[in-house]
Order: sequence, then structure tokens, then C-alpha cells
Amino acid sequence: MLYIYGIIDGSEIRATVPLGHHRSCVTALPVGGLAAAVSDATPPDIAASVENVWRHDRVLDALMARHAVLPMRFGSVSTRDRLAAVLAPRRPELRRALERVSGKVEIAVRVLSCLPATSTAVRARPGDDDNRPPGTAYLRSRMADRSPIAPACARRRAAAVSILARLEALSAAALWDRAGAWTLPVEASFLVAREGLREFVDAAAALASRDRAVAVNCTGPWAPYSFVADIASGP
Amino acid sequence: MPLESPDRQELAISDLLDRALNKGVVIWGEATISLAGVDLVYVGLKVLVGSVDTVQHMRATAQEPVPTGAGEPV
Repeated sequence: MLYIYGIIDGSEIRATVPLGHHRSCVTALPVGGLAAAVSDATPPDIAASVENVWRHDRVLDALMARHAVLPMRFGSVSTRDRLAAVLAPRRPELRRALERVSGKVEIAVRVLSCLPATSTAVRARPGDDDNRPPGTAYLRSRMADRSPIAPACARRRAAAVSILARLEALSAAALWDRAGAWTLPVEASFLVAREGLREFVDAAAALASRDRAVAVNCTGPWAPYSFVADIASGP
Repeated sequence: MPLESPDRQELAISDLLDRALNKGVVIWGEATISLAGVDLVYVGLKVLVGSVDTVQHMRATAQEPVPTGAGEPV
């Protein structure tokens, strides 16, 4: 059995790649001008531990230094013949996907709420019992603040949308729920040219600094996991 | 400072797991994930915060068990 890390452009691996699962060498299984990056998977069960997921990611990260890469979902195993048979008819689709992500990485972005950290948010409501524990009032204020109809919540949401829209202009593609949840955090994935990565991260920091109601956090660079979902799966 | 003050490394792990386990190319019927002996898989884990440099650092040191302390800021 073979463990599959991703699909790469070219028929051979040009990058220096660390050992894969079971300390096996990562090699290329060529399929008509592109290749699957694979390693021996004996036994085929790769435990879904954090360490193993990082290993999957490190192989992809190394491949991305010299290749366009379509990351496989963690845990993908197959036989050599079966893998070649599955990939061969999808070569045109895979090539298009490789072109789309070539030279780009994925950045995960969250826009977080900076809620009031002091008791200024705690206000007694008419009729409140003065003996009510302070924590009750605090939690009540937090719930009210997070209500979708609360002005503060709407303002933070608007700030988040504005920030993500500006970051989208710096990216090749973006995925986030534009009409979805009215509460923060808002999560997004951006496909960013590698040479524009620093500009993107600096822009995120600058945008966040303009509004004290929200914070922006980025992680990455990741393989473009979120931008290969349209590659059809099937038997 | 966000009240939802998450650990940078936890966020990086969350984002990694969210992507590697929930996204990526799937060849139907070929993906198998062993959940036996799971030491930490919390599919759909949603925690907060992190940084680009934290990911690079964690990726470089991922051969060892991932520490749980705060990550280096950008």
C-alpha cells in the first residue's frame, strides 16, 4: 500500500523532502506528466495523531518549495495500480487545479472579537435584585453584547467583513461565509501568492490595528487544502 | 487584547487539523484514517489565534511531541 501526500506537477520530485510515515522515503508515482507523492504504507493504518498530521504537512510544505501541489486529505492510502487508475482519467482536471495553485499558499485568517475586558459592560437592569451575584450581571451583559441585534455585535461584524474584503483584494482566491454567522470569530481561507505573503500578513496586522473592537490572526502558510475541494471525488 | 485569548500553537494545530482532516483532495473510497490509539484528534476543533511564524517553527520541530506553551509571536 502507498500513502499519498499530494499530487504534484512534473513526473519526478525535484524538492528535498523529509521522510514520510513509517520513516519511508517519499517518491513520485508518475501519471502522465504529473505525479502522486507517495511513500510506503505498511501497515496502512496511519494513526491520526498530531505528530503524524504534522509529518503529512511537512512533506507537503517541502514539496511546495519546488512544485505546485494538490494536498491529499490526511490518511489517503491506495495500491499503486488503483491510484494510477484513479488519477489517469482526471489528468486534465488535476492539471487545471495545479495551475490554479501554482506559486501560491493558503493562509487561514480569523477575525476575533475584542470584548470589553472590564466591568464597564456590567450594568444592572431595571428590577434587578441588588443582591444578585456580580457574575450573573456580567454573563448577562456578555450575552446581550453577543446578540446578533446588538449594535456592538453588528459593528464588529461589519469591521470583520471590511477587513476580509480588503484582504481578498490581496489574494488570488478567498473562501469565507459572507452571509453566515453574525457572531465572531469569522474564519476565512485565502490563496496568496508566495511572494506576496509578507505583504498580506502585514496588511492583516495593519487592518486589525485600525479597529480596537476586533483582532485578526493568521496561520500558515499551508498547502492549499481549502482550494482543491472542487476536484471531483468518485470511485 | 481578545478575551478569547487562545494559544498560538493551539490555533496552528487547529488550523492544520481542520485542513488536513477535513479538506484536501479525496479519492473516493481510498482514504482511511486510523482512530485507534488517537492521542489528539479533535476533528472540527475550533480554537483561536496563531501566527505564520509559529506554524513554521512548529513544522520544523514537529518530529517531537508538540509543546503546549505559547508560540513565538510574528
